[in-house]
Amino acid sequence: MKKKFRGEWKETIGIHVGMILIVAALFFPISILLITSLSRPEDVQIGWGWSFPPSLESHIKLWQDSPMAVYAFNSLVIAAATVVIALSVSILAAHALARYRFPGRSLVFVSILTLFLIPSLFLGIPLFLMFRAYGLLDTRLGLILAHSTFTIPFLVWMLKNYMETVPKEIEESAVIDGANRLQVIIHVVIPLAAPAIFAMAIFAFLGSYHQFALNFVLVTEESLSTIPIGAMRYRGVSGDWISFGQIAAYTIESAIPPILFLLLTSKYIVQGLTAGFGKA
Amino acid sequence: MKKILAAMWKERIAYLELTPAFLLLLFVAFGPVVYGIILGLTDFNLLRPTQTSFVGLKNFFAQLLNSRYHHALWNTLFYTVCITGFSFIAGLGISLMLNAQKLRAKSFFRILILIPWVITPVVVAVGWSILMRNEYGFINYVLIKWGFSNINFLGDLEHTLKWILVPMVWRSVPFVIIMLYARLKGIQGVLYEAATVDGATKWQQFLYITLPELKAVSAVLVLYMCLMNAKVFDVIWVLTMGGPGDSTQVAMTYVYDVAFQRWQLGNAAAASYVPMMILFVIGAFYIRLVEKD
Repeated sequence: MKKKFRGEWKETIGIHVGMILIVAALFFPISILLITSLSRPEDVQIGWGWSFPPSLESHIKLWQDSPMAVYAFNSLVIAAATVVIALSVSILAAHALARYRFPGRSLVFVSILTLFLIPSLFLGIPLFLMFRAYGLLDTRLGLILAHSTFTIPFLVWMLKNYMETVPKEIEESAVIDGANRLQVIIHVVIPLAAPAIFAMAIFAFLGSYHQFALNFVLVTEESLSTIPIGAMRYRGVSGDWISFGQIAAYTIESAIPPILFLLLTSKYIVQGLTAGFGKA
Repeated sequence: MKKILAAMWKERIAYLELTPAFLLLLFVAFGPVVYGIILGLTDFNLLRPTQTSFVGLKNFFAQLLNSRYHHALWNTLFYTVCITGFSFIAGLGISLMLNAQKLRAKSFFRILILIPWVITPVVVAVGWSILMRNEYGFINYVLIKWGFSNINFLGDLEHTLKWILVPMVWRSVPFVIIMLYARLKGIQGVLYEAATVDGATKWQQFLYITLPELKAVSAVLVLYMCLMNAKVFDVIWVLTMGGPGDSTQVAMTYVYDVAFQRWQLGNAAAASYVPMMILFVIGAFYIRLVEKD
């Protein structure tokens, strides 16, 4: 659909300029933080300043002087474990919901969806009391369990929607060939759905990585805190061992895994989002 | 009855496959939710846990008469409507631009644009709060340099509520862009060509082709954003902790305050009733739209 009229170059320039301005507006905060983080701590002690030439000192000091390593470890481990556990149970559940018509199917599905509507903090209140009683406060296992409250519904929903688009015949022919149901799932369903599962797993991972409310309520010890909690703690501090440079470095570095994942899955994001968010 | 049992037996494998997920959710989700609701009917206070008694809906009504609670609910409404509204309008505009044929390198822009949305919301809040610091933040630095007086973004009793919209809209717009753009791409070019042949102006084409085609996605999008924004806690807490005073208190930050700063867990749970009811109503519409079973 390329019409080449002479007067249209104005529109082209206009749109490109507009787009660049918009991207600049979206990126200005990140750029400022990036610049601040690439400055020596002394130069940005009072908030705004910058070093030339850029220096990695703030980033290095961040890892040396603050529990960033601990926070990163906790965030990544908890997210990974949450996804692994949630994925295993969710694939089975989604398969059941997608493939079989059984009494109570709608009820099960709706009740799982309803979990999305519960604010994390509301859930945090009873979980706090329960974990307190069972000694699960300040534990990674506790957090992993708590995170599954939103990870499982998400995965079940997305996977169910995806599986419904895959033709039943493939599974049925495997059954005819003598596979029992479990073998069908392992050898047929999962390989077929692999790219979708991969993308959804990444989203689920990010969901756990980003989680703040539950972590805030269920964990108070430094050594078990995650990246978002740490971000809040160190934002207010401008004592002499943590400067704006380091806080900026913190924000930049915690953004690295999500951005990495974004680059990995950019193709699937649009498909995944639209498929999962509705057949609208 | 016999038919149902027969059907259950026939598809018994389904129940088997559902069991692990359901069992886990029973303990960490469904159970606690019920527990939470019951908690709202007691006057449980963590500072005197053994003196708890069942008070029925007394807590709930007490909250309804509490002006701080009203304020929080009102703020929640304001916040939800504004963020959803601004994000949607801005997102619509940008996605239309993104869809313009004359734009090259679309996938490049697409990835770039998504970055604000994938960053952890709390980190977005922290980053912006550094930029918006009263004396030392970058924004005020620039303002002062250009001769304006500085703006106390996060500490102003009257205006902070409006200022915290900025970071949140900033991070929501990309999501809107992606969703709308995906739909825009799918609108057949033939429709526009036919309209042009029939003499329709670009504006008319927008009104009568583009907008209707976007109706379904937009409805889902708007409902989803309302849901996500109404239950917000983390970003507001990190930005302002509900302060200064109570000016940016939202439903869930209020609940947090009552639950974990005053330890009135019963009251806090009761205070969650109204937000949850609203969320359920919105959610019901949302699920209806999304799962046309």
